[in-house]
Amino acid sequence: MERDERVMVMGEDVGKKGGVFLVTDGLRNRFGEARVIDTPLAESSIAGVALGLAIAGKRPVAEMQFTDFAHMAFNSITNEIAKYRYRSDGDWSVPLVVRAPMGGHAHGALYHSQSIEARFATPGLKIVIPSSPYEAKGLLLAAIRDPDPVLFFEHKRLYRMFKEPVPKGEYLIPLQKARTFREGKDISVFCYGLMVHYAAEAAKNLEAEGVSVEIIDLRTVYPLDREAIVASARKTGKCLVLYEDNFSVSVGSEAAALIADEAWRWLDAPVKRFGGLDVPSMPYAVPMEEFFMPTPDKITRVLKELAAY
Amino acid sequence: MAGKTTRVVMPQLGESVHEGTISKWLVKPGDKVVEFEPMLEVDTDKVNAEVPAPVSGILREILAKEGETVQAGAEIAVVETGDGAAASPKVESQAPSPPRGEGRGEGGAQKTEAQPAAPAPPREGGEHRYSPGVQMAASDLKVDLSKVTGTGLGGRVTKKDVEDYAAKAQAAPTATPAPAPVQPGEGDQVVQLTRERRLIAENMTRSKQTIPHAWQTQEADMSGVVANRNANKAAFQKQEGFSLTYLPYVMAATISALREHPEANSTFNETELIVHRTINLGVSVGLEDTLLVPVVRSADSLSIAGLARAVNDLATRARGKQLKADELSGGTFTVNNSGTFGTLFSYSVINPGQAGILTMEAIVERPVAIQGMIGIKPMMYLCFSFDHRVLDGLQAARFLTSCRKWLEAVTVESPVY
Repeated sequence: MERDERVMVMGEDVGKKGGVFLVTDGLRNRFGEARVIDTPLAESSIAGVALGLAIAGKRPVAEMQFTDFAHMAFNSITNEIAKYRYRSDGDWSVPLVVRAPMGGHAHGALYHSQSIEARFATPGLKIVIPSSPYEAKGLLLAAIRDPDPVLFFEHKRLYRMFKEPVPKGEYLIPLQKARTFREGKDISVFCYGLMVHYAAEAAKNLEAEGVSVEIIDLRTVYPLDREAIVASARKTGKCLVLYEDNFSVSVGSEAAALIADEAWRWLDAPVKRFGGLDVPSMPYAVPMEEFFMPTPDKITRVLKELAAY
Repeated sequence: MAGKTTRVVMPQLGESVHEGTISKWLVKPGDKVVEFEPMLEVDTDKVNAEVPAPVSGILREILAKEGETVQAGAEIAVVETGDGAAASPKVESQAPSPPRGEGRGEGGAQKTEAQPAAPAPPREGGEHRYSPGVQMAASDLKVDLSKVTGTGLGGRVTKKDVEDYAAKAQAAPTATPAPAPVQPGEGDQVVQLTRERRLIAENMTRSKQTIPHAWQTQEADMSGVVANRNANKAAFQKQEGFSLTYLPYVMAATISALREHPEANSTFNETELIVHRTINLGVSVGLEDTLLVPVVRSADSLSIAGLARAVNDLATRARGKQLKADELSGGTFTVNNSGTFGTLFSYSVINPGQAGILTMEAIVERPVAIQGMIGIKPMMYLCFSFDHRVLDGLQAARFLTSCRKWLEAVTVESPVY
């Protein structure tokens, strides 16, 4: 915001309160009410206003208080924001970012736990899900500077799960580029967000048994970094696609299909998916939430089966 | 409708016996067969064995005729069992129980042999379905997939198996090129190898390729043994009907030394050493065209006369080709008597599965120094080939010393019975 006056923040409680997770804490004092706007509780309006501001030359970063509530803005995001460049034959772009806290295992139940990346995956949009503070900063700066709309989903559990040093100043992490979070040679795990860390725990368990697990952090889940996915799949020949979203019709389903399509001749096992359950909602009760979520223990079991195949 | 039938298969008659020739059927189709009663005779590489029926019933069909050589496990006959009233015939394959005593040590070993592994589950999708990744790795690494052992689900060959196989093949020293085959020259005679000769060749090659042989010798003063034998041989001949030789003395010395040094009575298993409690002593019996090593079981329970009887019995039957398969296997140590042919030093080859072989050489009268004077004594070299993975020079020397001391301690009065 210091560098570029066009950048502004808007959303429910992002100003005076600094956001429910204090992500925008202090911005109001530094950049003033005109650039840090508290909006009414109306997500459709937040997205619509952000769209207008973007077309008018601003670089809005709009926050949905939880991804679960982004559905109210579904029409604006997928029908208008995503299609604006196409509709205007490239004349108008929509350089905005929609941020929203996502995901479960934070005891948030029905309205505060959802993974909506697959539902919002629409040509014209990029969807980014960072897996650590360092990654979040570099990816968010890149998203803000991107000339086209980016949905930026931050995992709630990662807000408080661990700390890591984040350099002051600018650095950009390119969008649509996956990263190798952990090198391995026997099995590849494709995941993003919180699951990167759960997969890392499981990989340690497998290492004790002499199985070397590679973890690819997708970072941008739509569109996928096809080269990185296919390269790792071809390298190991055994693939697990891991996600917290409902099992069916997910970003992971797409990654699995891509691997089957382009790495088939290298594969040594069926492409496995492991995700959340196909049930209407993340349950509230702790044991039921555990039951829903892919946990390090469950991931370890799945990886062992794949190693033994 | 026929009753339940059982298919009889060729049993495996010995550890390294994989096929047999049916020499005689003792029953014919329509005959009654009784479980455990002899059903046919099989000629394996070394012995004629009677094969008992695995079940009682009626012999319906003979699938392998006399003179036919069949692999162990192949079906050779069909026996109808039950009352024939079963609604649907049920066919089972059943191998007759192999002859007893195949395993080492017969429960006497400190570590019993592992149970035979359960048959591997059938490979998923048949024998030759490999994943694309496996096929690509095999083609890249030039690996013949039929040689790779699968460790995956249901015995599936995994990409890792292929890579491990290739890595091992690369690590293994490249085999020295085989010498160009020698073409028979004019007047040369080409002799086809007999089964016995082939088997001996296989065993000896395996031994030399897998066992790091080391060798030691000591010289024993046989005065006492010679005196003892001279004192006993007439009575022994009269009592037993065969002559008393030096072999049982050396066997007794060996047994005593094995008791003192049990590690010499063992099997090296790559990751562990199986020290046998029972001493099953193999004795080389050289025949004109072959060599047999029948085994005296629990040899440590026998006196010199008992050992002599056991060896005489085995050697007599070996010459008549009447040994049973289990009398040729299960040895834990071997005594070799090439001295009887006049040899002085033998570098004998260890029987695979054993830790050593002791050879008694010719007993020769030699001038020796005795307390500053020269005397004539019947002397004998004891040559010991041992598995250097099991024994070092020190233990081997101790073992030999025990043998020698035992022999030198024999006097005219030492009991033969």
